[in-house]
Amino acid sequence: MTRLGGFGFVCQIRRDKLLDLMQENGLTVQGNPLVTPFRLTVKSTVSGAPNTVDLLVKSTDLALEVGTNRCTLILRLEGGVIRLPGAPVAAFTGGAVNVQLELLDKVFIIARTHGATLDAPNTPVIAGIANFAKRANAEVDKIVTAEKKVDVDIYPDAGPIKLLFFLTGANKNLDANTFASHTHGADAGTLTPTVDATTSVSYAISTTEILPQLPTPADLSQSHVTVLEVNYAFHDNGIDVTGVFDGNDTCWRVSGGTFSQLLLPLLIGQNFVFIPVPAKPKLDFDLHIKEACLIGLAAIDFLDFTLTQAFFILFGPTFGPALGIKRDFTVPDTPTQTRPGLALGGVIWSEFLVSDEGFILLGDRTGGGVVSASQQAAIHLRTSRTPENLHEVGRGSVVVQGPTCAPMSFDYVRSAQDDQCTLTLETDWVFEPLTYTWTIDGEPLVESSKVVVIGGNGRTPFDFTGTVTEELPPPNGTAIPGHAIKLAYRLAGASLSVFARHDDANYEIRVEVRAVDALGRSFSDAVNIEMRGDIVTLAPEYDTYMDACVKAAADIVNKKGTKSGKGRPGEPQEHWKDFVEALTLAAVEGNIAAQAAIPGIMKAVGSRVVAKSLQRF
Amino acid sequence: MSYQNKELAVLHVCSLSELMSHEKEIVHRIGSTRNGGHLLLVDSRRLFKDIRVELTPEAIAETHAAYPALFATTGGEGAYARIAAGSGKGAIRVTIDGLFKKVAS
Repeated sequence: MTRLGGFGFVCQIRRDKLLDLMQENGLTVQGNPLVTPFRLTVKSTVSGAPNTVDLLVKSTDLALEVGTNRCTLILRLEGGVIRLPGAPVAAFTGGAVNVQLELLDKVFIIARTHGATLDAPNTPVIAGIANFAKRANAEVDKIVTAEKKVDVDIYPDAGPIKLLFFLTGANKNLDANTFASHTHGADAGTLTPTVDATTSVSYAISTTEILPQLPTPADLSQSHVTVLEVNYAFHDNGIDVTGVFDGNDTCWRVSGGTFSQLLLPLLIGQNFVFIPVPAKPKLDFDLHIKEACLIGLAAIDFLDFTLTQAFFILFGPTFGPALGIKRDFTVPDTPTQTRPGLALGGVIWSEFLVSDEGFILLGDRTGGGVVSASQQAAIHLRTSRTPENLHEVGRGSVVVQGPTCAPMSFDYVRSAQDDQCTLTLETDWVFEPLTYTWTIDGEPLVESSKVVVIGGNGRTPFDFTGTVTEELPPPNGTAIPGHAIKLAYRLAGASLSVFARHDDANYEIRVEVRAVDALGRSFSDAVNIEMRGDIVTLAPEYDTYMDACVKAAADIVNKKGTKSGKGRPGEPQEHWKDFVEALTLAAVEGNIAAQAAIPGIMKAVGSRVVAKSLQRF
Repeated sequence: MSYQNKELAVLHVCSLSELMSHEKEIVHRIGSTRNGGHLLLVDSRRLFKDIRVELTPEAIAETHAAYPALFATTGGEGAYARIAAGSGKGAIRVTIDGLFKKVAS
């Protein structure tokens, strides 16, 4: 077991963090960031034909190919549909798309996409399609056509390591959970993982790389002291620094003296700290006094001081950059050796260890990738109105009494129209083809293409008997039960148009649709539509009158007790419908006065208006 | 505390020339004393007493005038005692090769 396996530098990254790096730094599949859910489709080469590939990715994973620099980005599928020429539609739930990636040598760390294959469950339909896997893979591979052309740097903020590994780095997955990038030296085949549940990133530097950066005897020598030899012994407790020196001056000389000191490694903050133990190096030497001289005694302190100072230049300015470490070196003012730690984007180092192999840093890359959104398959009905034949049918005046107000007469214009409404279906995360079942008031509708209708612009009649309402008198109009309503519709898959005639005045229908997608999943949505053939437009004074009446009623409920129907200066001028909403909200929230006012409000503004307001809460 | 080696014969020195004539013997006595070299550097006057080299005041003055390093150091009693007892910078050994600068002939 070795942390370096013969290499000079080894950086290891745990599999999940490697996936995070891919996710955070621009690796895509068919242009989609790796943030699920996302959709993968391949258009058919036949114009107008549905997509040959339609896949919904629900989550991502990464599998490392042990012993190589390759890995597989696994896109787990909610399901998918494959349409191969001359074959039935192959729909399936689950499965995965496997994107083959290479983590390129000589750079730190760049991913290259090589291809994509489908891993689909073996359904009876799929089993019945000849060469399904080969043919499906040929289609699925098209989703990474763009990605194959662009390599992606998945660790752009790796700092000086990028330069250190440039041109010389190589990558190898040590096991199913450990990616390793290494450079310098030769593979001894003994490299073992150093990441685990708590350590997601490690960086090891061999003594082979460290030693040349440490001071030589010449570096440590000073005036009157010649360091002949310096040795650095790395072990689990630190670094033993030992050496041999000579010294001389006018009246003294030392020959073959020795010095030694232990440097204890620590990680303080994110800095390397080497604490000398003892604070001054241990000296062992024979001081020869040639003749009695004043500096004889001083020679002892001189040597002590000189060799202590020598340690100040250990791990000096050249040390950091050469090992991929930050450059901002400051000469320390104490014997403790503090050096900036390794800058590797996003990594918080937790341990700095020394062993006979060299240095190793253990840390954790913060963050957990980009959180995927939840994916909810659904269908939604959207409506659009296109009434036709709007025309005036009469004019007159009508008496209205608002709450708290005296009755008043208002002019009106009455119009008629042939109302039309088109309902279309929007889908989220469902698989084509979908089959639809439409109903109006619970009665199933038939696809227009399956009905032969003589005349009627291709519209299918939908006659029924119900209650319709004429608009006059306001606010509730006049209900006419048992009316023979002649509605028509045109249904084409996901689109339904309904056509009313003005003779049927106003009425409401409920349209519901159920859809089943290619995976057999069922969805539904429904909407109430008011078909309006009879329209009464009251004079503008009506709204002013109603504003005042309803506001007065609201003030009573709010116990403001004002008798004025007009807003105070500075108060926003609210519309009477806003007051109705405020009143109904107060009623829903248990305001007894508001609840008592509801019948009067309904009488004044119409039960439909109040009912609609109540429905909102 | 006295560290005088009473086994040694007393050397009476009345002048610098007498001291120089005894240099070899004195260096030998220093070398034979535990941490003698180091003690010479700390307090040579005290060491000379301990190795039983007795100088007259005139001899001390004359020697100090010619060789200021000799008899100039007067290390504290504590330091001298610790070194004499064998503690202190034990891994540092001081060997005295001579007392007087050799003049080229």
